[in-house]
Amino acid sequence: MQNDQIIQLIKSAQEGNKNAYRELCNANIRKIYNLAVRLILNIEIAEVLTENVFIEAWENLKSIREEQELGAWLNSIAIYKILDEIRTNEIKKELLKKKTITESSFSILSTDKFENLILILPDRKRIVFILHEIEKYTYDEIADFSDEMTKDEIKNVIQSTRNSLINSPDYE
Amino acid sequence: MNNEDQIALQDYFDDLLSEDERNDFENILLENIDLAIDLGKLKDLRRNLHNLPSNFDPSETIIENIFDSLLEESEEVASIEDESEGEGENQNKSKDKSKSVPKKKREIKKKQKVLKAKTKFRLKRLLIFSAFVFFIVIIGAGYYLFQQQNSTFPWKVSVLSENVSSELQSLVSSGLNLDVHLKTSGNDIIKITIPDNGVIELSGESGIVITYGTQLLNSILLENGNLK
Repeated sequence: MQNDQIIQLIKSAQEGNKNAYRELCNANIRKIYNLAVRLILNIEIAEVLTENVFIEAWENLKSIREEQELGAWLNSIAIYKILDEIRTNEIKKELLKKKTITESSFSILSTDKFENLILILPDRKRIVFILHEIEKYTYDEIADFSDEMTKDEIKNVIQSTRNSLINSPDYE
Repeated sequence: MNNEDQIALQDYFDDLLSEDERNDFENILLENIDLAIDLGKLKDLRRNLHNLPSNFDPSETIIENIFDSLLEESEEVASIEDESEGEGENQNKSKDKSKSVPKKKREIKKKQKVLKAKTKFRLKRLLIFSAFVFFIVIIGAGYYLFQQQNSTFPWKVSVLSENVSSELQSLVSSGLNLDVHLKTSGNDIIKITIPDNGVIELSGESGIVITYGTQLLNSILLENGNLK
């Protein structure tokens, strides 16, 4: 989608045009959903989180600045919501209660071998690695999110994960 | 390659070194081929991560669920707007309402309890109003029944003279009620019996108006003539 077209759609959606917002959702949903799946490792929770991200984005669409890139803005909402879910397990508890998911449904595999190397990392390693290496958050920003890890610990985790990935027999 | 070199390599890769440290490390890189190869691997890893495709397909129902929620939300907001109008807010408040709608939307979104509370409030208000109407109806009905029981009407009219006018004859059959003007003329003599309260007699050129008739008080206005 061209930048001008995106700006036009955002303006139209800001005026309440839901069809314009639907197009913006269609253009961005895949990235947000994949981010949620990689961090949470559960399809059902990732779906609820994705829905929540786009509902909140609609409510706050007027706050998006002209120079702000929509994808990055949506990403920041998604990261905030996903980390909140990791902290509180609110959606997980609700879905467990409704028996939509089970405790054993927290593993997922991709069709991509390289992606699987990341998905099988332990939770804490995987989350900080994705935030830094894919979502480009700095060590300081990740330390701000995390109550459990210091900046140095985060740095060590990421640097050791890089080495373990590079040296993995499945990494090409 | 020692551990220090590894740490320096990672810090160089993360751009955490000062300018001097970076220059020093780049000189080391020129001499240390293993370190240069490791740097290449790190760059490859970063490129692979950057190019990592979004392999998971989101279900089509996600978009539908998003728009169902947005639709429900706008309907709820519309109902709140209607309610605000119904409550007769003044014009200034109406102007401010458009500003307060997003705030209301957030409230709805976060806690449906707010709506439940509003429903409770509406039900409570309806209940109070119904109780008030019921109370008024009971009071009204009670008053009506009391008046019915308390009234002495109709007063019975009996003719004591031989001939009376047809107008008086009709009163004999119907009795006297509130506000009736009664006139006798010539040799007319009539007896008016007020139930449980006594008898009055009217004769000749006389006229009365019945002004009140209860068990406690019965009253007439004598316009002219003889009254016993």
